[in-house]
Amino acid sequence: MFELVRKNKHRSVIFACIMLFFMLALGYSIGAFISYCCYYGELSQPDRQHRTVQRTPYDYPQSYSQDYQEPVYRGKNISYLSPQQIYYFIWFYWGPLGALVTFFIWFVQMIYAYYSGGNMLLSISNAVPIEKQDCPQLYNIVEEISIASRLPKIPEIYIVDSPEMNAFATGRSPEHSAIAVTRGLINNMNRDQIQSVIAHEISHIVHRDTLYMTILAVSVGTIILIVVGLREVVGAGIRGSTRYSRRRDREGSGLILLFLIVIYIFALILSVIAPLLAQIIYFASSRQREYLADAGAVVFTRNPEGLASALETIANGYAHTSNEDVNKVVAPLYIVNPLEAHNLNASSIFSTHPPLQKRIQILRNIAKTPSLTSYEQAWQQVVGKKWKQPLLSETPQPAPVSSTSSQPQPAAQQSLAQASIAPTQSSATPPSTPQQKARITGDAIMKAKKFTFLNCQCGVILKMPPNYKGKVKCPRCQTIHNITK
Amino acid sequence: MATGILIGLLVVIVLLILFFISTYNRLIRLMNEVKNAWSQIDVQLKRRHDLIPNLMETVKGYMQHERETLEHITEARNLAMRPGSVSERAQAEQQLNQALHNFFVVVENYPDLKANQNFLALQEELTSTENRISFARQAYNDTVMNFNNVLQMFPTNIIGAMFGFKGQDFFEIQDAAEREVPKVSFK
Repeated sequence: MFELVRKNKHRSVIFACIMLFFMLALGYSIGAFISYCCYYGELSQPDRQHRTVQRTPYDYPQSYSQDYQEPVYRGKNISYLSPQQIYYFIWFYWGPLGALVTFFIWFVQMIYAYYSGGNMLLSISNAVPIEKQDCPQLYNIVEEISIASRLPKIPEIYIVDSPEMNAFATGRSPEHSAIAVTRGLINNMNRDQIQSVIAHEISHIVHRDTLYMTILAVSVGTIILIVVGLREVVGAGIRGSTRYSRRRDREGSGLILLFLIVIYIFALILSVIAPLLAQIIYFASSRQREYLADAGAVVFTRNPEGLASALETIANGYAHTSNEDVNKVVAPLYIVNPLEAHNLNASSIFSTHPPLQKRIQILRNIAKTPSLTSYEQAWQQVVGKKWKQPLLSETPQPAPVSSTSSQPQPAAQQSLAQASIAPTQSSATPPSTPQQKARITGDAIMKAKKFTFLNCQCGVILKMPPNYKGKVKCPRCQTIHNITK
Repeated sequence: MATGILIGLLVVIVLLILFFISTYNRLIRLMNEVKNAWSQIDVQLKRRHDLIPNLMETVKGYMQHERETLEHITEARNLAMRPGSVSERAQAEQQLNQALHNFFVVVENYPDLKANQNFLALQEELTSTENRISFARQAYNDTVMNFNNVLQMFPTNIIGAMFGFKGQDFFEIQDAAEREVPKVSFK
């Protein structure tokens, strides 16, 4: 257990460092690249400082030219910079500034996710906290494993009222942790199986996987945000400058437009590559954490067969369900990802969990004494490789990207029209358009903020803020709803 | 040159002192973890003792003819709750284990009792308590292993010996009979 946690911590630090480094390097290169484009004119004319610049009255407005002063920085005239100075500025001022801005964006998101992520996930999945008398057995099992794992505090226990069999854990630290279990899992599994599932979740808590995955997820989000944000801002700039170019003098704006297009192409390339790379790192570490949580569960219960049979039971439970009812926000957190449970061998670089078949096989291969070494040996036997981070080498061929890409489908217009009429159906199918994705995310946030969802008879869903009382008119069929609560 | 050597020496000494302090504190922390894990076992044993009167109360009405079995349990419980040396208490716990085991064998003959909600709840509590006790022992042994590992490895062993730290004992089953694999014969 102890080597396990230690190894685990080292790996986490490495993964998180790669991700953060990638993110900051991206910010740095964006800052440096933009400033390079801005200085390009001066860099292409290195002898410019020796030229005498003749200002005509037309160059500046009358009032401005009188007050005009040469820019001074630390006592030096910096209106004409030598190329060395410009490069110095690019590498040591604008680049770091880009990285700093990126870090700031990351930090703000991180603070929000750190303090409210857990509660948000629990309320999105409709999890209800329980007391001991509600489900004594589950409560006892969680306490037992807390003893085995020497947690400082017993995690809060939530139940998701759903017939499927699954469980997940959240919480930024072992002191602020929660475990959510579905009703189906409690009803359909025996004590040993539940115990193994809980041990898997508690091992996530002990390894601080939520915090770790939050850091990675926020980094992925920041990378996407800055790259797509840059693309959009520059794109808007290009559209703006082409629209107004006739009113201004053409020479200046033509050059600016050229720069903007160069930056736009740069951003376009980045916005394809960077999120993809970030997600590959993210999913690879997510799969690794699942293996480690399995190992941790075995170390706590010393009962590999319990977890193996639990995983099998969960997979069987999903054999006859469709992906439509799955909550996609919470799916990656579950012990078995419902979206990946249909195919026991399913594996791609975009899988959040390792293939079930492999997990079960490893558990069954564990020899007499469950420990990290035996888990490692079993892992080697099944996977046929050394116990190393299977970062990119795990899957040789690239996976189909189409499922995760956010390219609008040809039928986007059609489905959008459908979505606005029957939003309930749009959330059932995989989100294909950005609008649908935005709707799902918005709904999730509203749900977390305890908004009331009101189904009107015409199919419109009215979302009312919490504590709202009074009458509401449906915008579509004009029915008046009375809200009393 | 001389000042350079002096500064180098100073840095080495400061680093050594820092290393000493951190290692000493680490050993103390691990030692306390071992003690805490040990006390956790006691907590769970006490939980079992507290459950037994409830259990007796519930089953009394059903099991008039098994007075001896029930008395055995109560006796063993009282014995186990008495303060004493570790080995004495371990022996008493062993007896209590045996008595409870016998009790659950006898319960099989009382279908009414097995259908009683109260009894089922108590049975779940007892199962959980048994698990807790074994998990607490397991956790204790893990902390002991952790402590001993750190204490016996170089260079911590030097500092450990300087301050008189001693390796801790694992929790082992005293009774050799319990460790034995049950023999099955097909005669």
